[in-house]
Amino acid sequence: MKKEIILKGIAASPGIVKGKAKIILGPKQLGKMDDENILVVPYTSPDYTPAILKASAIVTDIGGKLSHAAIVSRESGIPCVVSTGEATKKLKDNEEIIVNGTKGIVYKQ
Amino acid sequence: MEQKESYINNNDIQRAVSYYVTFIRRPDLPPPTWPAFIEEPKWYLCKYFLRNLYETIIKLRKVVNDDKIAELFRAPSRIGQYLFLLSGFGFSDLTAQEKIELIKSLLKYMGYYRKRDVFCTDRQNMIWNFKKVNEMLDRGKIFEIKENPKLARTIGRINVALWMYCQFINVMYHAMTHEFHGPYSIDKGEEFLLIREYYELRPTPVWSFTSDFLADKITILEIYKNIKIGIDPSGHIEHFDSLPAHLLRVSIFVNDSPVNSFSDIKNLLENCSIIFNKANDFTRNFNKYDWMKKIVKMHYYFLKPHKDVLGENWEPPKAQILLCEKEPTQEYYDFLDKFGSVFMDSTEKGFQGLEKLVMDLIYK
Repeated sequence: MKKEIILKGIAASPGIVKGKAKIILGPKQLGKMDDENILVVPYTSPDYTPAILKASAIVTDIGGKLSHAAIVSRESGIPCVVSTGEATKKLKDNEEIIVNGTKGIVYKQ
Repeated sequence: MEQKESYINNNDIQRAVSYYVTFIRRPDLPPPTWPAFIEEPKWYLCKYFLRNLYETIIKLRKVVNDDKIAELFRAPSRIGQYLFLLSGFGFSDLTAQEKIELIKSLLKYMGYYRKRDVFCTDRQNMIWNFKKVNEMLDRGKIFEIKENPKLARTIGRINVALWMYCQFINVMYHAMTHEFHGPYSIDKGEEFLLIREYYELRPTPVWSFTSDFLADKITILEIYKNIKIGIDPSGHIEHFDSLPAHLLRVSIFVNDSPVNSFSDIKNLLENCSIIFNKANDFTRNFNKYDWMKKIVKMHYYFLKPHKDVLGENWEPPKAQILLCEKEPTQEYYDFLDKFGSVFMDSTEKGFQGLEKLVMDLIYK
């Protein structure tokens, strides 16, 4: 069955992961994140670290291959797609998605 | 003859400026904006701190030799971070001659550690000799990733946590408290060793919550294969592939004692996560000026070893703290606009324009 593409961005860290999206718009929302959720954010910065440490993948609105999200994803060995433009608007909390960090694509599961 | 003409032949200064401009103009490395735009702290630092740094070095030279002064700085990437203040040099009261002497001194102290290339232009940061590398490998317990594949990702997360922790306590100037070095070739070049040293992780006079962290120093030795890794002179590891996928072996030291079990490694990750939650709680209501005070205090705090040798107080003067409670001047914002417009020009002309702008700040 062909997967539906929801978002396209830059492939920042390789790998494919399925999981639940958690949209986090600021450090005050970090408590939403459970282990192995997919972190969906405008961008990452150090104060997002507690959520990053739980994430099975990261998807961001902005950034490039040397952005913070890309670097921490490659360090952690988790897939990452950056520069999707609208991930935090298009995705919903607990939506089941597939993140392909090798191709830079996010699919509906 | 105007002083500006003398810099054409001043290779050290030219190299420092070229390095700075090349680094900040990397097109896919976005300038940090957490918790403020990267250029903003420079106004707060350059007015008093630069003179403090310069005069501390000059006074120390009367009592100890340059090698000892270099050792007081602890590591070359920390010294490299001071060069990031170059774009703020025009707002210091140092004379042109003093600025030149300061830059030359910083380069000399970086060279104490980096015998090959101060600016790591070949993307290798070689600080230890082979004797030291072998000593550390012999002293620690080496964990094989193939025996526990999940360990690779745990190590990755620990490094993310520690690197972010350094960003947090140094407020953007992360390499003040870490040194990443290597890659050191081992096993006939088939494998290589990357060393991550995180130190001064409990700067309690500036950040009281850090007393809860389990270590002042953590060293991680990682052996990789089949991945290209480079290290720049400001403490960034350059890689475009998943690090855990290529990690073969790891050895960890906490406060110079080897870590001997998987559960201790897991405990380290948990501690990192806990301290981060404390850091976020501590700074939850911070405004911009609170962050600026912390950046400034950390810069002064790292000169405590130097001040101890001189028998002087390391803490910032009252005028410095008061400065941190004010907005930068309109002159500085005008400068940032001018700097920004030249910065955005991605052509060779833009590069040369930025170099000239920074040179003029030094020779102003």
